[in-house]
Amino acid sequence: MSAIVGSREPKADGSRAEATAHPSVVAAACLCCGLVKWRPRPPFLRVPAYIAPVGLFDGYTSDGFSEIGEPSSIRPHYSRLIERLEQFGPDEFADRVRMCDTTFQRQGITFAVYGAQEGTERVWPLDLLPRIIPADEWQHVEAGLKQRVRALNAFLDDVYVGEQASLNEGIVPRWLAESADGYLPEVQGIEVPEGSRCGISGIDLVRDDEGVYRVLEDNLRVPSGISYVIENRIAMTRVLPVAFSKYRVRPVGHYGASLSKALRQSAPAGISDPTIVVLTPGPYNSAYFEHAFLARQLGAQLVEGRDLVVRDHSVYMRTTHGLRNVDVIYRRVGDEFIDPVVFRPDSALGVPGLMSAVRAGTVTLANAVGNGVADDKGIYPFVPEMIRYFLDEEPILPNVTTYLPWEPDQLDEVLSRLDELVVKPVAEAGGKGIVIGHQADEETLRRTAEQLRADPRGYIAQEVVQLSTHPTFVGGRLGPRHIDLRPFVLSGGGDIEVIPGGLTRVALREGSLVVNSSAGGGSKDTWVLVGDQ
Amino acid sequence: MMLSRHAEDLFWVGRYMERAENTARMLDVTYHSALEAGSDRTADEVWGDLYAILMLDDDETEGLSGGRALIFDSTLPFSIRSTVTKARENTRGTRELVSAEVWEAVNSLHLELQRSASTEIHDDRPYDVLRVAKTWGQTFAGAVYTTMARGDGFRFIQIGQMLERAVTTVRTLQVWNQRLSTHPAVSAHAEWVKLLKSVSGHEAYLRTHRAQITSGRVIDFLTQSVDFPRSVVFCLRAAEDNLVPMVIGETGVGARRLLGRVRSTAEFSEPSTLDHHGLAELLGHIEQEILRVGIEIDRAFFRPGSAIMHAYEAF
Repeated sequence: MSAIVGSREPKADGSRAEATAHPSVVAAACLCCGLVKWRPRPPFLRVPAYIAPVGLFDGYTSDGFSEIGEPSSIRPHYSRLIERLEQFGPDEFADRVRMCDTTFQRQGITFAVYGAQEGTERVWPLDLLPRIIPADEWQHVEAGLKQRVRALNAFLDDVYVGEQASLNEGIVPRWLAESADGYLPEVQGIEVPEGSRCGISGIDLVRDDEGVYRVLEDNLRVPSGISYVIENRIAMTRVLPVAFSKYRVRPVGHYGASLSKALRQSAPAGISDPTIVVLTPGPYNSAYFEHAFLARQLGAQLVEGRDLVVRDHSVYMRTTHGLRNVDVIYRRVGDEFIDPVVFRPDSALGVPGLMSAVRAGTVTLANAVGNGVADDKGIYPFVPEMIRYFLDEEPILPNVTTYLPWEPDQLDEVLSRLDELVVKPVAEAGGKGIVIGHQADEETLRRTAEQLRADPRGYIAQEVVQLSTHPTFVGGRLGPRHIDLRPFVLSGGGDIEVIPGGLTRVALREGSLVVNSSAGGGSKDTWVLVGDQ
Repeated sequence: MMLSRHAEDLFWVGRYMERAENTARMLDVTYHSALEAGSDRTADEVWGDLYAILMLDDDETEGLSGGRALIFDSTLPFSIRSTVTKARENTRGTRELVSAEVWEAVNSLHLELQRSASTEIHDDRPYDVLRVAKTWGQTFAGAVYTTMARGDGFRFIQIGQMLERAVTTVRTLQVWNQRLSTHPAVSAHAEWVKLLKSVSGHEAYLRTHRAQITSGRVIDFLTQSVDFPRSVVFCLRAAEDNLVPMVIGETGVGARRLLGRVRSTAEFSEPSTLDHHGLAELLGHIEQEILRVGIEIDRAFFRPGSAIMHAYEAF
């Protein structure tokens, strides 16, 4: 492996991306675990941005890449929106915000908050200022996402049913793949219809301080959030219809149909009209709302593990009309819980014998089991190489610059810049064990250095990434807040479709840089524009 | 067609809500009878009847003093509060299959019991909370009837309600029969009135038979009336009406057969001609058969393709 993986990647314009270690940068991390996205006290917070009658953007200063441009020179695709908004008074906005909250509350669009009091549900927070992505910018992102998912899918097929050429040739170190938590030798040799292992993927993107879209993380197991993309759009069209009047925005409401198509295409061979079900861990799961939503969109039964039974290597659901055959399971239950016979024996969420049916080819799981080997933190640095290897293409979307401590020269660099980098354990999930250089005290850094020396293979280190900022309404004010983006990619039967936009998440609280919803993060409707506007 | 789990949940929503309402009504009657037990019977004996109807054994009733625990104690599985909590859990899991009004009735009663449990006034005056429990129970039944489409979901709720109600009436009658055979009451008339009140049948009886309360008529009324909605025959007929459309192919054939048979037994026997012993035997048989109907419904609809028999403690 050569020097620094991330810095080898060309940027969109062909030049090399050089991540700079700026003193006021944000440590970006996992969307799922909600790790704090941290940076030192940002300068703009000292000058609160009020919605002053003379202009929406008085005192608006962004430190990262500003999505709207500078208040004095708004980027063209935002100008019509800003002009429209300037005709609104703060009271009118407050009204719209209330309207939006009420709409969500009445419809029960909420999410469960773990760790807080049991059963706590919060109304989904939508910021009324949409994020706008011009058509050409999206074209670039979309191409990059499709490319990435194709390569990841090829890698998974290579690992599980192929010759493991990528491991044999060292494109991805074999030891790293085989020691990944998500690598499951139990599914070795199991074919997937059409080879489509990543039916539904969520690829987390951030924009660095030059506005370059970078991949922060791949989610190839059970990515969530799509229901909120759709609900956000519905709410926006009701609450702020005037905002749409000057734009042609690409729709997102067809997701259900696209998902249905992808799932049908993944059905076992010879089944023309498959019975599809959505498998949920149950109402206490934080994403249950989404599971129910998707089942409705698909017109499918929302089942729990106990509703399914395996007989002679086929899966059936228990109904009042007896056992009914099931062909495709869109499962939102994690790999380790899916079948107590094969994986965790204490799992009550799974279906005993399910993997035997999968192996027999009578049922399709979407996504396939074992995908965790491809979205593992330790594998992430090698995705650009996978793209080159499997597709013979240059990666369109760069990674965040990542260092591999098991390469001696990189270890030295990591150790010398420990207080500037983010160190992540390869084997841990959910943000556990991550050390953010800027935040850590002397003692933590000393211990981290020790651990890195003792077990360099157990960690990766990354440059902290400056997240872009976007104007956001907080407490009646308009201020820059950091955002990221999770687009959703559907694949089935050889087709890959990216839903225009995706879920934009916002660090809502003043001074806080957490985008995770359960920790006070917000969301934005994400507009992808049609053609030249 | 619906998922077996949903069918089972809804069946038990029906049973639990019916049970909560019945327990509230019996507690109300028992509480006030205990107040005026006088020389005839001790308060303990009066409470003992209630425990017998609820099928509680001595272990479970030890240390229970009157009604408060039976209403509020969330550690007792048979308290009204526990029963409603279970109904609410089941309704939560089937939120998309019931109407908003049905959910609201279950949820409101649950919240009301939570709220009342933390206040003290009911030690002395259980009437208020019992009235609330009965009212929400009836609101639930009404909402099911007037807001739910006549699909399988509706039918399973109805079957649950009707089997629960039939069993309650049988058991209440059984306890009275048992007691009057061993301890002839000073005032049999007063006892029959109490029995009728326990199943909300006093007024309906008076309208049917005027004020002529005789044991034979009361027994016939409670077992065989086709008009009174808490009589055994009425309930079993209603359960049958809801079961029949769901019997397709082999599924549920056994349940239908058993239900039809026990309904016939209740309908065409002559309970008022029997002595205490004969009546006890007949009621015991009917109760047993209703239990089997439940097990058969469970096997056929809730556990298709499963050999495991579900033990029903609740019957």
